[in-house]
Amino acid sequence: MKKTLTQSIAIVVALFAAASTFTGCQSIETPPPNELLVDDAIKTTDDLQRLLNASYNEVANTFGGFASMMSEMQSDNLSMPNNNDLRELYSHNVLFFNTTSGSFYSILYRAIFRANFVQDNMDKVADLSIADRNRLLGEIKFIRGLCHFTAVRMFAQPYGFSAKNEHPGIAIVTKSSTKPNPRLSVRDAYDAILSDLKDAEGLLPAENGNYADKMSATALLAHVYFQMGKYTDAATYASTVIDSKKYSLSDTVNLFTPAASGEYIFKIVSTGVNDKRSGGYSDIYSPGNPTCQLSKQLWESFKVDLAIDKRLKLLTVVNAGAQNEFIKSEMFNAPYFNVPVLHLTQMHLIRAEALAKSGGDLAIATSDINAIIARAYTDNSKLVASGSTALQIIDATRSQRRIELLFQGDRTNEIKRLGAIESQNIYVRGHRWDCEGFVLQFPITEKTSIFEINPTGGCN
Amino acid sequence: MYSIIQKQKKPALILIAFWASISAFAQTGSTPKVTAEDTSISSVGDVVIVGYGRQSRRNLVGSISTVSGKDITDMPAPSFEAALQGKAAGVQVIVGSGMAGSASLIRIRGASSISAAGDPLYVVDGIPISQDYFMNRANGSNYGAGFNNNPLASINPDDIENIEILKDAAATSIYGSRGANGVILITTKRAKKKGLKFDVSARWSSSSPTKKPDFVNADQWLQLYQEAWQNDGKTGTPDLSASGIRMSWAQANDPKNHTNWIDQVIGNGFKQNYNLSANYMGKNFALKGILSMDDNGSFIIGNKYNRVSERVNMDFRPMKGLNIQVSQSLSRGTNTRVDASWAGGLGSAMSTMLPIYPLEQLYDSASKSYITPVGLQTIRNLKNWRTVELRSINNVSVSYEVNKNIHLNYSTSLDYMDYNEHLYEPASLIKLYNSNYKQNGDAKWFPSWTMNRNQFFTAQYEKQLSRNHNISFMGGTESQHSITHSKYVENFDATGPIDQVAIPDTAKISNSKTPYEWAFISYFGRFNYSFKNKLNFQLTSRWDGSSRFGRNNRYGFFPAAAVGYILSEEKFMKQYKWINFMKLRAGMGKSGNANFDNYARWGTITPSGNLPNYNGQPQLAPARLENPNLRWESTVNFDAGVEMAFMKGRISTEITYYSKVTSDVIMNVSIPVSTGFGSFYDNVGGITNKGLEFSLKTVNIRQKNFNWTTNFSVAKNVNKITSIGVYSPDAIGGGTNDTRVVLNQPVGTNFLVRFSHIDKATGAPVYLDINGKETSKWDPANRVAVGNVLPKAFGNLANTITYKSWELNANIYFNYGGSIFESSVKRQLSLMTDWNMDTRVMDRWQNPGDDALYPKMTLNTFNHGATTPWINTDLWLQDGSYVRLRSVNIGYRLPKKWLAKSKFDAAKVMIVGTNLLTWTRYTGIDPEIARDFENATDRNMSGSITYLTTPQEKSVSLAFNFSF
Repeated sequence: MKKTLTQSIAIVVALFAAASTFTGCQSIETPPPNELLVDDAIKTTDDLQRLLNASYNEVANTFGGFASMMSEMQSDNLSMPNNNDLRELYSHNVLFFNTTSGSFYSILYRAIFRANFVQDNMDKVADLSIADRNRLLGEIKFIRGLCHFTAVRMFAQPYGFSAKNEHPGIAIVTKSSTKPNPRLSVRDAYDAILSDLKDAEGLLPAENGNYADKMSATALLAHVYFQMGKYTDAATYASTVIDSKKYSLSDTVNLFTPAASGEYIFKIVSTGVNDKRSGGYSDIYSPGNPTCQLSKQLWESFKVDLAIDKRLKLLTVVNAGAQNEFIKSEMFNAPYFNVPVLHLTQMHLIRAEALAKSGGDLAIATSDINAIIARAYTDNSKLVASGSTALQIIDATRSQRRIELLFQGDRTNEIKRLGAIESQNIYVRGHRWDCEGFVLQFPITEKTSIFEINPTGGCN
Repeated sequence: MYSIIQKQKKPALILIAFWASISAFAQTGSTPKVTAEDTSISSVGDVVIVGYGRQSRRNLVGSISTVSGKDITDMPAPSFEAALQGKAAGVQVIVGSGMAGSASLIRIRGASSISAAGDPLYVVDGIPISQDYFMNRANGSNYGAGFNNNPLASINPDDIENIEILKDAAATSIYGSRGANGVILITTKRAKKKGLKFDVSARWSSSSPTKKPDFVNADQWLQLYQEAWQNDGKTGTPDLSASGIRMSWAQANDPKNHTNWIDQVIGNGFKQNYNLSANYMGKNFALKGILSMDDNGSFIIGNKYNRVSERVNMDFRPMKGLNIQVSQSLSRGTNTRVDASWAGGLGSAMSTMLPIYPLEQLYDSASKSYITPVGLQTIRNLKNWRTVELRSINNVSVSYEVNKNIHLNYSTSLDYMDYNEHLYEPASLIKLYNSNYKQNGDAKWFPSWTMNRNQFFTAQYEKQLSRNHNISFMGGTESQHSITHSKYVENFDATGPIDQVAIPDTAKISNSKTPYEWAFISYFGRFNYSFKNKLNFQLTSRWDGSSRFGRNNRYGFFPAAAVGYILSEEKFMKQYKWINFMKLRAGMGKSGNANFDNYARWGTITPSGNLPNYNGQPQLAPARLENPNLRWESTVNFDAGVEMAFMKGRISTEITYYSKVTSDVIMNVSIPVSTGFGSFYDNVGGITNKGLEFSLKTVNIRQKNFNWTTNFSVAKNVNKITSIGVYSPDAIGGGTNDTRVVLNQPVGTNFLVRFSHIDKATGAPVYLDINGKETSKWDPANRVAVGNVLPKAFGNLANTITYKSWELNANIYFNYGGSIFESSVKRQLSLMTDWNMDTRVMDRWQNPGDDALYPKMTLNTFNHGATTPWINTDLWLQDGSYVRLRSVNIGYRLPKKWLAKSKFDAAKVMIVGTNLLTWTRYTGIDPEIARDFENATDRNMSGSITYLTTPQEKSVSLAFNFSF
């Protein structure tokens, strides 16, 4: 077996080449099973629509009762819950391991992420029409505005807490990325929210089925300006909605029934018992011994109008007189229902107070609040007399708001507005509106070198 | 057990051990004659298996430890890797718990991974084998909970000829992106002796726990409950329902109902091991056949691991220069499972199975329901639960010597692993939980099977250029592909397990099988140059492409260079006659770790079919975001060492310094959820490991009939996390064990609220806030780094004494430093819930003025300043140092003259004891802890943390070996 060196080397090289081809056939592309690759999945306008629908799905998970519970629990509307996580909210000392608060936060931002994901992948659809593009962009910005607005109200001290609103706000996320986001000031957060919502108002069509339309954005803008104490703007946007005549006040006092659907400006859709997006409300208010029960103190103050206030018929005293007496709501008992997130009653309440606060037309303000009062009572004793002062209108509106929007997650926001904008010395369970624990805590994983979470230790 | 550590400062301990062996040597004045084979540096002439080849140990430039197969089979162990403990400096082995077949935790030269698996790469006869510790998780079974599967348990220790542990870059970088955590090369036995020879061995063992969990009895428990009741300001008969217990106080006090549950689950384990091997070597054909049976019963009643295995290794030489090696093995491992840890069994006996509960459930006729839990013995007897693994590792290797300079080798391997979990719960068991149950029983089957194939081709060129210059070059290419399929089958109305009773179509649900796949393609080369046989120089490099690497980083390059200089060959060294051998070596190189999630790099979308509709319309949701930059962890490894032998080889020693700087550490980061995601695999962190390894072998006495050698090794490692990107320590959770990644602290840092003392007046715990100020409130914002799971140093002292036909072996393993966190005692000491109480609770606050270790009894966690009963503080953290008599082995070799008349060539009888003695200050059960882990991150971060963990076993065995 004699071979020259050259021959040998030639053999080795040839074999090596052969082996390389051999091993080279082996693919190192092994995509995950049961999932679609992004480029394969996004081809048509329908695909974008479905992706956006996944964002609405998270909006539904947030506003089908969850957001309401998180707000009500911190306010003076409920009694102490029998649940460790919620008790931390109730006692204004939410630890950063609180999984309820953490999952609330994550669902809000998942909705935002999914909306941003649509925005960032629109270009993959070659034949996307301008009308569809504008509508989708409008919906994306509306969802972003709605979720950021909810987050900034719950996780940061309110607008008006500091003179220039430079106190820590939230992360504003406008791109789909895994890069951590910085914590912006409350002012910057509100600027971003307003900008998104104004864009949305311009981009959205007048009609958009069950999804967000132009008026959804307008109504939400009224809420944002109202929270900021910018009452002229709040009144203007609320007027646009009311004056559009697109919506009508319902006759029924329970807005969580189909009879009230004429009021709905933006709603969460339930299509049946197997697709009930109202479960968030039903699960916390409707069981025999529900998680969320009305504060007894509040019940005592309501009780004086028991004979004439139709809304109080939606409250039941269970085990009356016994030590384990509690008061529960009957508003959310339907097996499934659509959930109004933005509705006309809110617009009337906003406009009444905003006009009165900003020196606007008091006659309109009076008619706004009287429309609500007239519906709520069996007699006319509570109507605001024409020619009432701005202060009288404001007082009436605030007390109606308390009971009209009961369980809808409004009260904590109202307390913050009264404290921060209206300079009231308002306390809940001995904790002032601006104490450190009177905001939700971020989940600990939010903490990065560019994001400082809220102070720990609660109020005291 | 009185502790020697208690008397000595701990660093002194190591010095004492060292001194002891030196002085022992010094005292033996005799100078026996030395034969050539006898010198302890005879290993210099040894051949060592290196990646894709062999080298002489003398010329080795990398750091490689060799462990012989005999060292592994001499003692019973849950699995072969456990026997590596103490056998090589710098190789930390935490032996798994006493559960049959449990996995050990092995870390080579510290910890340099966080979310990528930190285990070394195991290569059996050339194939990197499947080593997934979470198979029972991957296939969706919750029943694996409380116990991780052990992919190494099905490997027969008796098949192993030797194990090489590759530690530094010079040795590991030939394995490129997979070598950074070290490589363990396993070579199986081949025929060695001419003709036909047989070996037979048998071993019988009995095992028990190193220490039994120590819990209060029923009367004590009730007293504690009453005390808590009164401390909380309540009067009258205590109400057990406040803790969710449905028994009345009177029922609970009835001695008829009292049970010692620990005794119901712990017994004596019996083990037996039989091994038959045949050796044949002819002119052109050789064969080694091995048949083994191992029945490994643990001290947990009803739990055992049974392995039956076969191996046939053949060598053919059909023509000159051509060698064909065929290696084939098949083993079947059956783990008869019982609940453990937090999933039940002993874990329940240590937690929710109270001593006031009767063996048979108490029935309440008023509520028509059982008011006490199902007895642990009943669950064990009725539940039919097994994992059955089939594993077959096969290799064909063809090598051809083209001429004396050129050598070609082609190798192809298949590692097939088939893992089946079978669970059957008959109606008689289910009815105890659910009285309305109408069917026959519930049978679940979780099969998964992995085909792992690799092939490589190497060409080697060797040439002696002149008398003084030798070169060799090896180049190769390799590909590997692994695919795992898993599915889930359930029979809701079953009369037996699915492998025993056919499933009717109507009762069957079966997910479509889902693949889990990865692949590598690699090119590698090694160049060696040797000058005068004293200066050795080596360059290696590898390019690795992997299915796991992102679009922008498809291939990684891993070079290394190393040099070894045999100084003792130099003339100027000859004057130092007492130095027989001296080698300096140094190397530097890069290697990686690519053992992370197969699909983390891809951007994907969940199809509409897997999501509900919203508004009656379908959804498409992003499942993961693409990470195009995802790549291997990269470790730059520097290693420098001295190897020496003195006094005719009676003392040999090795000192090595190393530094491993790891960057691009893979972290499964809990990213801020404001990104819309919970977690994301990314190359984020940096970790350094720096350490010293020292080993010393002395031949203390060398006489005709009496020999005594001592082997001592110790390694110290300093580990530090140098970067965690922008994230906070909580971005990486070590499972539920409260270890975190903290900048400038080691991997696996215990991150806890500090406990200060017990308030003498109230008995309430006092904590420290982040600034060290005392506070009565427990708040996780006050957590700080208070300890870490990695030892500061560890090592082994082995003594072997032979006298005539007798041999005595003793291994003492020691671990210095490192913390143990007892994660479950928060509910076993002082906070009264529905859990059993540890006897250490006796040292609690009872009356004002008491100076107690543990707080007052209470039923309400608010009294301990917390909002949840699950609070962790450093009150539950202890020093993890220990010294353990790992094994003692007394053997007697039957004298040749006795055997002469028989057909036996050799015969040996042995008595082996493991873990017979342990010295420690730790007050828990056992200081050597590898608990059940949740995932790879947990496995990296949470060694030395207990949660209802089963203790280690100690055992005594009798063994026989015969050759004929």
